Amino acid sequence: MSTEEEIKYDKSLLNKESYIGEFNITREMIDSFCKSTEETNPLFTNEEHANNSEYLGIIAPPTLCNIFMSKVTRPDIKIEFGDGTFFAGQALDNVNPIKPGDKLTVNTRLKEVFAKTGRSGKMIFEVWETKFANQDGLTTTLVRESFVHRKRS
Amino acid sequence: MATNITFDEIELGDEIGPSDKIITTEQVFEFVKILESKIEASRFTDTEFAKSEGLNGPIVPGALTTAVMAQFVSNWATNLKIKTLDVIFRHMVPHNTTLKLIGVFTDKFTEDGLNQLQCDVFLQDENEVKLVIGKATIIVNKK
Repeated sequence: MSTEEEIKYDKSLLNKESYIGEFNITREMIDSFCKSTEETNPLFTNEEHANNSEYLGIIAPPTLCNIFMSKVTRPDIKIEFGDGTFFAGQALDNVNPIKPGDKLTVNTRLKEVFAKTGRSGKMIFEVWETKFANQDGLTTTLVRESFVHRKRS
Repeated sequence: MATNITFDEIELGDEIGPSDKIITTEQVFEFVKILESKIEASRFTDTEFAKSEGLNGPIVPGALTTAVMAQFVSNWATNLKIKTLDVIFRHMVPHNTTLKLIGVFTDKFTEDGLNQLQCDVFLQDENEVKLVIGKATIIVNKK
């Protein structure tokens, strides 16, 4: 495995937070999300049930934040490797519940860049972590997305 | 949705499902409309646009696929809560085709006083090709 020092990219971006924006969470948004996913969990859909739960009200399904990821733009880190990039995967950490009326502030940062060598040769992984925090400053969700740079031929 | 389960009831290798699922074009449109007031032609919504990108037809957004997988795992019992979900997209997921969801418990542990399970979850097509692979960490709340 190569060390990070051998990978050429704009290292000034490492761990530097970029502000993405703010998103208001509405009950209608949660309802539409549940409708489109055919969600029936009463914590997300039934006010009376949710009021009697540990959350004391409706909360959002665990992957709701994912709908905002298409709005996240990232700077080019100028990796000097390969001629093809593809989306490798995603990880969501649910830290605190999201409720209707929440205003989520979103920031993203380049978390790490590392190399791996597989059957098809060397690949460089670019990992970004996007943090959603509510109006009280509590982190609700962390989303890590990995992109792979590789040589096509 | 099933009733509550207890941490002790789960053995490694226990399975969730399989469960058939069809994600319809109507569901995709509803999903896209959550943030967009007007549905623009995209690889998710328009056949011609999708074909111009080399796809066979419109595909399901990754965020909708992830939501369906999370739902499949967390709704298996009423007292489960998803802590983390990692997914790897291996193939595109088309609209209006029969998909199969399968989960397998691979680990159980107690951390920070919380009983937790790890579950591998797969979204397959009719030919059992794994389109999306996931790993969920689930908190088992007490009854």
